[in-house]
Amino acid sequence: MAAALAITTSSCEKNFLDVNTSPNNPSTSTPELVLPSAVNFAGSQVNGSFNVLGNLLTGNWGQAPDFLFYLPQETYNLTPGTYDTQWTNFYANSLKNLQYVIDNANGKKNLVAIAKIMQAYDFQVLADAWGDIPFNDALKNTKVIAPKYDAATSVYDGIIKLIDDGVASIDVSATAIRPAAADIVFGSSALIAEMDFWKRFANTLKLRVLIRQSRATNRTSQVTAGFASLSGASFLETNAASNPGYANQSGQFSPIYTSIGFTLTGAQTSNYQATRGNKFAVDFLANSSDPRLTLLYRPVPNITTSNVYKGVIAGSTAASGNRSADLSPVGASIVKASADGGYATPAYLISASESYFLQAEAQVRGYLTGGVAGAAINYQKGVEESFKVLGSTANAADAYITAGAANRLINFNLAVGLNQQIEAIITQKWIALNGINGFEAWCEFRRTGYPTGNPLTQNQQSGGKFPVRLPYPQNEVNGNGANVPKIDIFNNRIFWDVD
Amino acid sequence: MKKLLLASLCILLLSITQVFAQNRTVTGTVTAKDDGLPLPGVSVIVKGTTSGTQTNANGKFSISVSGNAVLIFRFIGYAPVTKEVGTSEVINVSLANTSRDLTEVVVTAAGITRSAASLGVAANTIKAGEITQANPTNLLSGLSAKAPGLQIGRSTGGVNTAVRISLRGQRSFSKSSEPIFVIDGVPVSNSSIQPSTTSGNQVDVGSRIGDVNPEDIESVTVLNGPNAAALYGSLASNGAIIITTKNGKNRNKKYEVSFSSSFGLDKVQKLPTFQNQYGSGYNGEYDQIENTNWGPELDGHMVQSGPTLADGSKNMIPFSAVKDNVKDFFNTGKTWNNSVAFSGGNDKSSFYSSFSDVEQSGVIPMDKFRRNTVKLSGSAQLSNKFTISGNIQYNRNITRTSFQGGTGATGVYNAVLNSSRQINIENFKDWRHNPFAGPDGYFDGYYPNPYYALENNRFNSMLDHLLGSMQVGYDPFKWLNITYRLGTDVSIDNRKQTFERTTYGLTAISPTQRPGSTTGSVIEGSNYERILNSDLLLTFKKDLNKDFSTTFILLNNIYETNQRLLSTTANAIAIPGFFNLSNAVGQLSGSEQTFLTRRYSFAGDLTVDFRKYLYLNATLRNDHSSTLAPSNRSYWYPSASLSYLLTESIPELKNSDALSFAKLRASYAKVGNNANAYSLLPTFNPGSGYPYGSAASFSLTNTYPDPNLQPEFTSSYELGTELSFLRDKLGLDFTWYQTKSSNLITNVALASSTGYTQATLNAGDIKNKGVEIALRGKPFSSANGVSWNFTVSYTHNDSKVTRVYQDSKILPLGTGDPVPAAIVGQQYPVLYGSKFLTDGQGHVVVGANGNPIKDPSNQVLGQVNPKHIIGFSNSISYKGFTLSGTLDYRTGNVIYSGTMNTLIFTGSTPLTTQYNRQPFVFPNSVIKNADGSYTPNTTLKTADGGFDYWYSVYNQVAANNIVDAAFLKLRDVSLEYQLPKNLLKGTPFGRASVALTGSNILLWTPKSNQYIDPEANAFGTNNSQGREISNTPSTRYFGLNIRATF
Repeated sequence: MAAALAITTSSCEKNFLDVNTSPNNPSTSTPELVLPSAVNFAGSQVNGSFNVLGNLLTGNWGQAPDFLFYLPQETYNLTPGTYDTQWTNFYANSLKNLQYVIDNANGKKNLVAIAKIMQAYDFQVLADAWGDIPFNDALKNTKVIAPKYDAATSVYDGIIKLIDDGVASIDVSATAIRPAAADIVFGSSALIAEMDFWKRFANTLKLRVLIRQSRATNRTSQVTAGFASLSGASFLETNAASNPGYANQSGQFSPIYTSIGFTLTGAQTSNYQATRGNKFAVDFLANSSDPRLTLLYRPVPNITTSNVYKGVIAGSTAASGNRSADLSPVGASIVKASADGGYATPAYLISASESYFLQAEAQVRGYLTGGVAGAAINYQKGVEESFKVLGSTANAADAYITAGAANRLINFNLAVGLNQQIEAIITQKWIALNGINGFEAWCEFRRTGYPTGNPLTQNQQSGGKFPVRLPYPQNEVNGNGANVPKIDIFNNRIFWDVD
Repeated sequence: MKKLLLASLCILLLSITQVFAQNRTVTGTVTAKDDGLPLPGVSVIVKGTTSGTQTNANGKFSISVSGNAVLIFRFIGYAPVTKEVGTSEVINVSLANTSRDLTEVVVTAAGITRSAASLGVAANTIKAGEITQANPTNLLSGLSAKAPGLQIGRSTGGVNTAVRISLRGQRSFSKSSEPIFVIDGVPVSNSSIQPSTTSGNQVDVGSRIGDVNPEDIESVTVLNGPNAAALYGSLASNGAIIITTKNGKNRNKKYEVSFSSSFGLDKVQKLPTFQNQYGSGYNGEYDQIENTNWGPELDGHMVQSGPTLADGSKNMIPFSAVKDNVKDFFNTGKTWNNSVAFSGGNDKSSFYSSFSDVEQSGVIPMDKFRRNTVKLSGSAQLSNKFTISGNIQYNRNITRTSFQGGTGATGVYNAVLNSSRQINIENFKDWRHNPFAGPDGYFDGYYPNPYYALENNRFNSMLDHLLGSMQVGYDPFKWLNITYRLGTDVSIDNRKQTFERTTYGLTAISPTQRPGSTTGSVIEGSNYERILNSDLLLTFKKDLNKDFSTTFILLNNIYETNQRLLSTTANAIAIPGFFNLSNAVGQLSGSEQTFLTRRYSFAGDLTVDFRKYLYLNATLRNDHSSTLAPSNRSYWYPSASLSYLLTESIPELKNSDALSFAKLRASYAKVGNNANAYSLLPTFNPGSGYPYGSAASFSLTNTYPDPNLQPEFTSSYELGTELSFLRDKLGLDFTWYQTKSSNLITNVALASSTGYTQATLNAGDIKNKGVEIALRGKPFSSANGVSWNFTVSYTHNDSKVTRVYQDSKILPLGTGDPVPAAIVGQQYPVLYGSKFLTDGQGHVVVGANGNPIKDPSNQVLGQVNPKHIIGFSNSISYKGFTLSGTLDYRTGNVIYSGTMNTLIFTGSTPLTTQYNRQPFVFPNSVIKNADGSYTPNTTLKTADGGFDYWYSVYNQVAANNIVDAAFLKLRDVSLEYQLPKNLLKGTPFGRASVALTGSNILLWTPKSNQYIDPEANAFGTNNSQGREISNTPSTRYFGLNIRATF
């Protein structure tokens, strides 16, 4: 009853009601504390669910027929709910917090640089997945509750500007503040090296943005101007990946390990069992004697006498011999076992291999200097980096190229003319992106149509058509319905998807 | 019981009557006609004088009279009796019960009692006997179908399940739509903190009102609308449930021990209908490890079930349907319910004390619940001017159950539903010794043995709950009463959830598909909740002249809520079977959340009474809330009501037999409601996964706050009448109401491109209107012959969302397909989700492959709350026998059935066999032509008739799992025998009875519902209702009850 007296007397005091500050969450933070999580969200999407999506749609992976994990992707019945969370993760969890860093940087120019470059990165993924998206009106909380959708082309222009502004904000002067631990991509390097990596990252991203729209109608002037600004620029030669400190702790697994890996105690998850190699990619690698087969896929679990690699026909029905344990799991270089530190795999944003293949394409198309000869060099480096990221070596890559001398999809010199050269580059890029960045592989498949022969799933209910984009998410349909464009995911292509 | 409730009031009236000396003494005993028991506190007045007395605890009186006096015996709830004394020295009187009692009082806000006649709003009181009719362990279950306007939902058939109440529909988007619960003047919590925020790993943890021992209840008054409860402030916009406990106010009651003991059995009531034609497999091909039934026809031949073990042994079973395999899984639940109470008092003080013990075992094996309650209350008159009373109730609940809901490895019922038709689940009980029942050998390649799941994944809770209050009254003057009351409601729930670490299939050699291994985990949690309530009331009474009298009450209220939720989790364990945080693999994760709100208020309440037939009541309240910004903290709201007793005001009607009573009433009220704690400022959360080691990161929350949030208001109009005909043989109560709730504090869902997923704003308006009708009848009533009472109640509520926010038309309450939602122009809430595309005339459109096409946009799939609720209670007595029963009928709403979804997935329902698993022409379907017109489809068959159709097409549409939620239930039945008095003579017993009771005995549902008891619901007491996710089926209860007093 003493407590009651205390209450009664204190009611006269003014501060009796001043108890509405949350003791559960802080109400202040700093840009250094906000940046890591914002970048981590981008890495998680691209290496997690979007990686799975892309690998399912480009013939790398398939659903084990006795599991029901990827029904929308296997039937192409993608709905507003399917990638609702990912849209939210990009806008609300990554882009908004990057904007907070930009708005509260207080002269910390390098933080602004990283935040703007990463915003550009996020917006490109959004535009490549969904097409027209909110850009100018976005991230304005209840001030603009129904953001207008900007044409994907003008989003692309905005991305270029974000990249340029970001690069311009890089400051390596003596008085500059080093992002250090706030930078979960290159923060372990000294300031000058760190910001040089960011500059290369920005250039490579710009290269990706320009290449992507290089054949789109009415984009010539932007593409030409963009490449002019890249003249003499240096690009990524190492893998750019975010890693906040992935560990074998609950909630701290790397995105790919979270998506299709193992448990805290190292046991297979159902997701691991549900995700199997696709017959198309498994057969493609086997037929071209590609050593990466055994890195990208594991042998069939049910056959213990020898190493057999067998992919699933996507959308096929479960039957004896066609169940999870009868099919090749995703490989030990993509989703490593717990004992091999699979939980710590970094989240690849742009791989070194992708950087070289982008340069190669820009050279064969004449946007960058070096011509076909230069492209051949970059092509070889791209293949080498692909082997290296999987734990193999450049020598093994060279041996593979040598052995495949008769195959124009391996031997670049055998590729005649622009089309064959592009096919070789994109096909090799598709292999290089297998399990690393499936979404980028899906974008390139939509842009170029390579790899040739990528099969429809047997269970498709789309009348024989691949989806060419994602449907707008439920949260936009509900909260911003008047602005959401009416699209058909099988026929309305993204502007850069011209054939 | 009426007589006991009101005794104290009589004392008050009589204590001011002076007794004059007379010349002759008359004595006697006053008894009640119905049970022959003495009536204490009956006023005995000499007609034409002011002198009188009252009966003592034994019903005896003694009074001095002169000459040929006439005595008038009056007692509340009984017809007055007039007796000429004549020359008698002993006068014994028996008083007969009247149904109509103009002086009956009703407890309204803040413990204020008012005469029922003066109430200008709908209020229904349910008495002790009616609540305990079927011996419910949960007080709220005992209210089902017993008052108009009351909608009661139980969630599942588990032990100690939550019961959710709503009155007149739902009126808030983000705040609770439950009424305020008040026990003896103190607002208490009916919270239900679920162990998980998703549909997996759920437990029906019960809710706090369920902690009250129903035997301790004197009465429950239901104040249906905000009008009646305006004085409660914020929480009263949803009405109020006022619970009065046996709190020892019954002075002059004889000392008594009462005892109640019951034992009952619970049986699973409604199980889904199963098909017995096809066994496990795919595409007609048998599969020995398959949980779904898309295999060949069951023909009885011997097949291998499950994997071959390392030693080569195989489990061979006949390939034939085990028809009752799901039913056989369930146990018979048992409930022991014992309670004993001690009570009594003299003219200065009284006490009540009780102890109860409820022990339940559930229909799911190993589910156990035990509740012990202790209650002590008492009151005393310290001097002529002070009264004091206090009340302490403590209970401890121990809950030990398995998990339900969800589709993961821990949902027990889900694992049962995933047992194929040819599997005899009972054979797999002994998983420790039977190698085919253990994790390595159980037939199912995807789900665990349910017996293994229930024994190895456990929810344990130990809850201590204390309700206490103390009240001091002081009457310095005849016209002034000062009352101070302090009350608290404290509960601490210590929980431990354990999940076993399991590796499947170590010794199985073929086939190797086994369920995914589990890491095991331990979650230690502690939930602390406290409400503190302080009321200071000044009551002024004044008779202005012989026509007008007034009562004015000034109220100060202070209300504080405090919630503290702590939990620590070991996300994996090292040694299986050892459940301690020290056994963790990896770091422990923890969470801490505290919520503190405060409010203080001032209110005035004026009642003017004109000639005892016209009453005007007006209130005004001012709240100051901690959850709003200083500039918005203070808000005012008024109410007014009028009650007019027609039969009292018109002399011609006063003694009319045809219309024995008529009251008209009207009221208006406005009630304000504040925000939730911490809704005004933006905050940062730890970034996903952070901290990684020593690296920390924070992320802006995705809820955008409005620092200028205003209180939300509900305004309400109510008109009603209470009529009684033919000397109370027939009564009719009718209420019409309309409420408008506006500026609702809402978590508006935002398009994420704004950078936020929701914003806390003033948005949204809801209108509710409806009628509540009760028809009461007493066709026969004789003391020794047949008596029959009945009440038919009807409730209809029509709600409409009139605004959500700016241009948005839809507000989802949660996530999922379907999702409960507030949609402009629709009832609130409705289920909103996917369905098949139709041509606008209800014909489903099929595509080129013959499969129905999914509508690209979501649609409204039906309303969650029933349109019509009808309750019918009956009580027939003959001699000592009383047969009572309650029927409960609801219709007009739908429910999403997760059970149905699972059964279509597993191919266990007859729905999936109606076309013999062959492609078929979708009935009444159409094909869309190139020009946009439609042609009936008579030939084009679906692409598949098995799993690829029923699961991949049919089950992908939420509308196909929506079930008509109509039902008719025989809710409570009891046959009671009251032992005759002469039989008990010479025994220590005053009263004794024995009863056979039952609840949920019969259930009728529409033919289309082959799946669930539609009363099932998502767990807990929150607003996100209308969905069921493999909930434990509901049960029917049979019991035997013995009551005695001595």
